Amino acid sequence: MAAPRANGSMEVQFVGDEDVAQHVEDKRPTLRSSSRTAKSSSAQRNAGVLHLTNQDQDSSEEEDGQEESIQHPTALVDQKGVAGSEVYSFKTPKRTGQMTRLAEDSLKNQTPKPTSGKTPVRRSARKPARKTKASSRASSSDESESDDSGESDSSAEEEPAKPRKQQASTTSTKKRRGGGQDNVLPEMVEEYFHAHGGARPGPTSDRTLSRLNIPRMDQARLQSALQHAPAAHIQHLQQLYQEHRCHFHKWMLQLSNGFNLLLYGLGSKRVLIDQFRSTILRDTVQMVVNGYFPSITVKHILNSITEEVLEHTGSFRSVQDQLTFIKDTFEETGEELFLFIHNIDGPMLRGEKVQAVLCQLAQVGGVRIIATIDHINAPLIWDQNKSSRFNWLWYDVTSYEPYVEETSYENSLMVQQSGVLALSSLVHVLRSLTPNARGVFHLLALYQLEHKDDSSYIGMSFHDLYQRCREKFLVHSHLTLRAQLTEFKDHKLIRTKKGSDGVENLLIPLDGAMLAEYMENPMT
Amino acid sequence: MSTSGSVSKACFVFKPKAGKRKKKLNPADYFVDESGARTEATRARCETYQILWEDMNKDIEALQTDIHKKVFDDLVGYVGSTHPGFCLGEETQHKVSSNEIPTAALVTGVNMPDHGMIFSNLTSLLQDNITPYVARLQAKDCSAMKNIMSKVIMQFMGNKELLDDDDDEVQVKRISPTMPVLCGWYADSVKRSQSPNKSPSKKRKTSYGQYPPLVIVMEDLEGFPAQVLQDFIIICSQYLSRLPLVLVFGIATTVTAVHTLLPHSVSSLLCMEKFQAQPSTEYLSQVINKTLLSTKYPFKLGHRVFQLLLDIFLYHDFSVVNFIRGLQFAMLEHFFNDLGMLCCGVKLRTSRIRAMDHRELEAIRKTSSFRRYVELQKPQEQRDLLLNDKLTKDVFISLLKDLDSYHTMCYPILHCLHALTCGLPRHPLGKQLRELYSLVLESNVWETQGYKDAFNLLRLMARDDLVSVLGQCVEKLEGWTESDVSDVIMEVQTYMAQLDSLGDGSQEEQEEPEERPKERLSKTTKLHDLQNRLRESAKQKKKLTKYEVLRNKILDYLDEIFRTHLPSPTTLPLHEVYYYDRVSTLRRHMNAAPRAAIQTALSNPYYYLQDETLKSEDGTIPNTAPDVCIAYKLHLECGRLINLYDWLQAFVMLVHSGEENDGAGTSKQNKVDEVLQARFIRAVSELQFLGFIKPTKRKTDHVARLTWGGC
Repeated sequence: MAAPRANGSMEVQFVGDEDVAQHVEDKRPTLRSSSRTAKSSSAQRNAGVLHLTNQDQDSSEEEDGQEESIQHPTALVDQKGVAGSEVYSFKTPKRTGQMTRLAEDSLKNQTPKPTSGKTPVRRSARKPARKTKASSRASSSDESESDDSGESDSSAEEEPAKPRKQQASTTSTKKRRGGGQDNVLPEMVEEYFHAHGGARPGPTSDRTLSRLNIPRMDQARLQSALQHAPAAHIQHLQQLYQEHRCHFHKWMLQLSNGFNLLLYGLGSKRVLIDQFRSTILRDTVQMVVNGYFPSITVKHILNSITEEVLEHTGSFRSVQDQLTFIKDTFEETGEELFLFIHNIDGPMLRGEKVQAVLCQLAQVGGVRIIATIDHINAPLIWDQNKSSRFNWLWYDVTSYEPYVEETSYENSLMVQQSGVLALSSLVHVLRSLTPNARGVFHLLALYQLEHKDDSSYIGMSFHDLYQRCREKFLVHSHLTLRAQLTEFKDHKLIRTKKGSDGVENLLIPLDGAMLAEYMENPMT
Repeated sequence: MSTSGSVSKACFVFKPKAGKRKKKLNPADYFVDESGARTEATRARCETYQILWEDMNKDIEALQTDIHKKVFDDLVGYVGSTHPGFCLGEETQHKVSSNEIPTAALVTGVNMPDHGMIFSNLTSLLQDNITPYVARLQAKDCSAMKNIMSKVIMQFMGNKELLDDDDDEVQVKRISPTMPVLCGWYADSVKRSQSPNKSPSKKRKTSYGQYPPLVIVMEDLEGFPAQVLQDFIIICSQYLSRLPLVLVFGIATTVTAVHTLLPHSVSSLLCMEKFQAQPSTEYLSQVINKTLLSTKYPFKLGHRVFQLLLDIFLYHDFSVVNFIRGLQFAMLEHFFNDLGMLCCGVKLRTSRIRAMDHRELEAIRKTSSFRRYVELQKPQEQRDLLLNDKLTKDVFISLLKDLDSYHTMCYPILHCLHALTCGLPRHPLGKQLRELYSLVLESNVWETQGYKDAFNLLRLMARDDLVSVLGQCVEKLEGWTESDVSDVIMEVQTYMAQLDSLGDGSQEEQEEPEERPKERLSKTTKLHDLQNRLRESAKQKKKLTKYEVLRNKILDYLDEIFRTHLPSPTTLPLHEVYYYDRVSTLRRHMNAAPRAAIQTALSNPYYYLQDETLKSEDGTIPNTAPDVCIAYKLHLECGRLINLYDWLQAFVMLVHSGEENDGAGTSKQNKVDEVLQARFIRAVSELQFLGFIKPTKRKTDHVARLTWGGC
């Protein structure tokens, strides 16, 4: 009986090239036919593979044989909700203006709000974009601009009208086929490399933000503007929040049984966690870690535990020592600590080593961890070993709360960096320098301010600076100036750049306004 | 308690005021019913859960040591025999000619999460039997030579057997971690142990040899930096004459890992012996046997939950520890619900049923299996079952008793069926018992295709094979002490005896009928005749041999047995009391898909916020959706780069239409614009925070997309 069993697992058959070609030809039509046995689907895939590589018949045949013995997990995949194939699917890059088109389409489908009263309902008929813009813009210059952009759009649309139609039809068929069949894979691969391989990153328009009539906002202005943002769906958000609150007792039960909690889902979870802390865990030792904090290190976390929680004075030679100490102390005293980590996937905590330390912390007897993740690829920071040590129970606590706190540290794309920190550090460094050195910097700054309207200004050449410094008796040789400049460079106060003529140019990497502010009162 | 807004600090500690501190977290405090109150019932459930889980855990732990017993025994024996002629005397030093370090390579398998337990068991076993000196090293501690040495020396010298007082411990930290120090210490400690009367405080075990070996266990060899490992091995080999060192490598992959880490010059210093630990699948089978396929614990997993845990095991990590955690979680959930109340021993259960009030009874009446049961009764009984509490209680008791007796018979018969079919070609009912068990949990097993295939195959089985599988069946059944299967054993044994008694006679008979057609064939000459004859003979039912008759009889009997004893538990009334089958809960908490959740929330906010205005068809965006959803939907339309200006325009266009009010003045309009822009900025930075986009310098005012496609 052993013989058939051995055979059953895999059958390898050697076939010639022609046979394979025939096999491919034969099976092709079944692609469209309705018969969907396992064999034919695997043949389809092989057809695709062969199509790509044109050879390799042996391996593809082997695949064919193996197909039957491979079992697929049945219970792992959730039938409800979003399928993985949707989340990780590819899409062909779109033409420009696709975004506006979607917005327009969506506008068309909106049911007019009863509150809008007399607003012409026809607005939603054909050209909503232009009209809303026109009504929203006051300055004529802007209007012309937006008009102009609209025109360029429409002209671009009209010109390749015919090919676009074709393209649209092909994409739609692709979509239809992408419904769930396996043979899409090679196609997807091609699309992927088509989209990522080219030198040009794909079509986008050339408009820039400088066209806006509102200058870039800084953080404070942004916050104040957001105060006026209308709140929506309050009732439903509240409902969602209440649902999550119902879990509190269960969380406690699970925490007390040795599990740790990991909260995920869209929206800030700070409110929920604060609520959890202040209601159920009122009389316990807690520690909150803001993982999104830009300069947090694992050392900070451990030090907080040893110094503030365990009230231990003294230092440790290594992180491992500290961990051992924490472990021993907790086991001795039987104390308990609730460790809340907002964004355990924060940029500074993502590292493998940090997570290794944290998961060891999770294994300490009295330490219970409640952590949150937000990044879409967050679970990748743990391998099997770590996630097993963390012993997570996952909770979906989608809240739609804005990530106010979490994103406030992030250098947001459109937020004007106020540069307060940069200026203060400049003053700080300069204070510690000699008057002569300050003079050198002053000269450089003055020169740069003189040229601040010159867009092609690339910096002051070293020779010029040397001449001027000599005139003011600030330096007496090339060497001393070099020494000064090195000091500046180390503190990132200036940048050097070689010009096209090979001359070294010196530049202060601050914008005009800030430099002017500095020059006005240099030492405060 | 605020933790926000600080620009200098990221860790905040909160302590309760003195005196208010809670003593200890007690799970019982959080076992509550829906209203959040603790009642008698919740207390009872909590207690049952705790007792049950403790017992189960104890059993599993006992299993853990058992499962590796053989390989551990071998390993311990090997370690004990490594340095037979070791002696510290000066005159014998030259005798140690070879400088090969005895090394045990323990191949542990890829299930890393389980390894911690394996090694701690091994360590304690070594310490009990061979030597007090065992050092455990993990790759994370050994980034440099210095760490590795200090770790080794700390563990050897910090050994409690040797430290008389606390002063030594302090000194250990001060001394420089070098091999000569270790040598001196070892010589010293050996001397000390040889003259036991000098250290009166110690009553040490005498089971250790005169020179107990120094064992260094490296748990995850693959993780060690190659250079450090090489240096360490070379150094160790130099000191072999003075220290009886033994290395134990824990290897997760294959032994070749050693050779990829070490060049020949180093690996030649090792005298390796390979030990293969039991694969974790074996361990899992034992755990399942002990916990789920046992009448000892009333708690069971339903088909879908069981399958999910199996799938996680087989397709994710091979980790039994995680499987056990899943089991624990399922149990916790089960007892958190009302039905867990009755999931306990017979006596306790009966008394609990007696004590139930009307509300609790109603909860159980609502279970679908009980309702199905009621529908099958006569109308009069139906009414009684639904209205008469006392009668219902009696019915409950008897039904649950039926379930118990079902379990007592089910498991041995299951083993029997497995023994019968596991050897069949193509494994129609699965290679492993767990696969078969999963089938049984799912539906009546005899209705499955696999069962039919299996019996078709069995009906073709040769006599020798049949005898041997029947023998295995009997063996399995006899090993079952908890339940009464003697009838079945008797029956099967009778059949086996009959098979034996068939003897050679049957074979002679078999040959006869085969010869007859041959004779006829030789006489015929015409093709047409031959065809006819063949046709006729095909139509004629072949006469069964005695063996075939008997085989059919046996199989019919077994089939009957399986049909009576192996119905799916889902067909039995009140199975919900024992079986936990809420797979979605388990999946959501053990095997979550955070990215899918985020993308669902972004692309289909209606899923979470049940607001009718958020419903949308044909891929358009409702303008009432949260800002971040609108921004997300728009960005899906772009390729690799997104123009911020265009994005903003589209966003403003869409959002603005939702809240436009006519007749707005210029200043107000400006204000609206600013707010809109701020909202857009917030949405964009949230998308950046979530990892959908990142800033790029390839083009001014553009951002790069980080995901592809999506929904």
